[in-house]
Amino acid sequence: MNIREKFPLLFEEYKDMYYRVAFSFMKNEDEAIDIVCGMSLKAWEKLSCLKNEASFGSWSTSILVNICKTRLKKSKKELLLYKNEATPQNDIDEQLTVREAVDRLPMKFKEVVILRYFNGFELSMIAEALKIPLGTVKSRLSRAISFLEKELGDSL
Amino acid sequence: MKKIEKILYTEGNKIQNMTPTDKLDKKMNDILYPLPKAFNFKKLCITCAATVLAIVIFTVTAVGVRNSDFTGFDSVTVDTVAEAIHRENAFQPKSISHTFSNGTTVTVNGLVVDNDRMMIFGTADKESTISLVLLNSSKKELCHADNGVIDFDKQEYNFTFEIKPSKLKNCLIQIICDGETQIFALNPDIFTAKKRVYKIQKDFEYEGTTIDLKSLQSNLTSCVLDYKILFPKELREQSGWFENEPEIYVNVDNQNLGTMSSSMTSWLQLGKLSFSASKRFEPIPPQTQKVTILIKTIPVLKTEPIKLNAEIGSKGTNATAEFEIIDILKEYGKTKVAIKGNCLFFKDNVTAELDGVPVMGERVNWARDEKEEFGYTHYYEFDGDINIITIEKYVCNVNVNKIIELK
Repeated sequence: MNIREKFPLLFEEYKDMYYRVAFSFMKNEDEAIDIVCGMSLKAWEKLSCLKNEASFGSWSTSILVNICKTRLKKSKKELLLYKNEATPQNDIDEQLTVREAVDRLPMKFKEVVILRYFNGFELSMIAEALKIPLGTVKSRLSRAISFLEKELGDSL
Repeated sequence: MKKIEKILYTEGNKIQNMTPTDKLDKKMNDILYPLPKAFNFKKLCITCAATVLAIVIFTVTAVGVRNSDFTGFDSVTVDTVAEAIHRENAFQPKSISHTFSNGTTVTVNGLVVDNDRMMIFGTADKESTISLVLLNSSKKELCHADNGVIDFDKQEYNFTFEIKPSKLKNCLIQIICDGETQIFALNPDIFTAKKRVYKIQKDFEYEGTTIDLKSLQSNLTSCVLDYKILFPKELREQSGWFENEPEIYVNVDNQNLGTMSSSMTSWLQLGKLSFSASKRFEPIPPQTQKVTILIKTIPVLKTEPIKLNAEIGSKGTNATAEFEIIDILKEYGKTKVAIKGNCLFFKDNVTAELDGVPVMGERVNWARDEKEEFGYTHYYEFDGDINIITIEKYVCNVNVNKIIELK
């Protein structure tokens, strides 16, 4: 079975992860769904560029992240906040502040934070997906944390 | 672990516990479901392999055999594997069907590919508005559709979409039926479809004009004959036309294929005018037994220049409009007339008669003669063997009605 034949199965396997990553960026269900669908078409179109089948996950994630970034850049809209009604009020306040602070991060820091903390990506996978060295991922995470600590200050 | 990291992880856990809604599943199913169907092409591969084998067996080398079946023509017989060509180029993606919510079932029946276009054929069981969009993640392109042919015998609504292969970047199309969309996946092999080229090595010579047949390319939508013509002399001195252009046909089983288009590129070769020419014909039908290329030259009528003056009556001018028919060429059932005048004509002010019936001519070109103060040459083409033309008006808005009888 070649990669094109496997594509639907691979996509099914990663579908939930794609949705969560897209949602982390967009904070909107419809937009996240749109992006995942658009990403599937782009991945299918560019499938011949995938050299190593084993890296399908990171390769497709990089397409997804790029689409999210492009969409965010294009729309320049205020991101909606993710609300969970079951969360106690004081937790919401704290988390909203954290999310706002994450949103204020420059994109290169925001993307590593979203992939690492919100989606549980390994550092090596983040490096592969964002096509940056592992050391750069670590330094960006470190700087992002410092930035967030500074931003949030006493509220932590 | 820092406190901020804990908070971030907590936030992340909430996202991790999210499950996509049915909306995502439904949309993704629309995209993913057609794919496995389209990818299961084992049968197609076997068919293709068999076809390739058949083509190898029947490898076409043009046979330079004079054929006496066609009186008045010289001919080259080309062995044909038309059926194999059809099998090779036609992709049947398992007749993918989808029933839309309005109850219409749309079926994509097949694809036909050649160098210039890809055609997608399909049917709908009800009369519907059907359009096709090429799905490209960055942009969507609506395709030209020849839509809406009803087959009364089968009670089907047939549609055809034509796509330029250069626009094809993926194998997904979206068919929209009365506003509702469905994604269809196409066979990726279509992008590697190759034309079948038959090498023909045969020269003919007519009255000093050499015709060198090069190749016949066949596919499902057309066949293209490439050849080269070497004229013995340069263009006709005055009008720029050349004589003895051969009439070329592709004949299948004793029937000439219709001509779709032709093109020529010229250059000079050792003082002679050489044309690299290409002529596109209708496709070779399947199950064709014999393909023959017919070549014939048509006698050219040469007429001496006709000179006449037209009186100018209105607008208070004493000028005289002068017309001169500088060249007449009758070939291929057309009459070409070059008229030189001392002013510009309107585009449609030259008409003709063919057996008493008015015939509209087409001004195919005009040129100004830089050597003369008022010298314009107009090139008109008329269908048929024209004997009478009428020049009615010219740009000075002067009424001139002159009937010229061609010899």
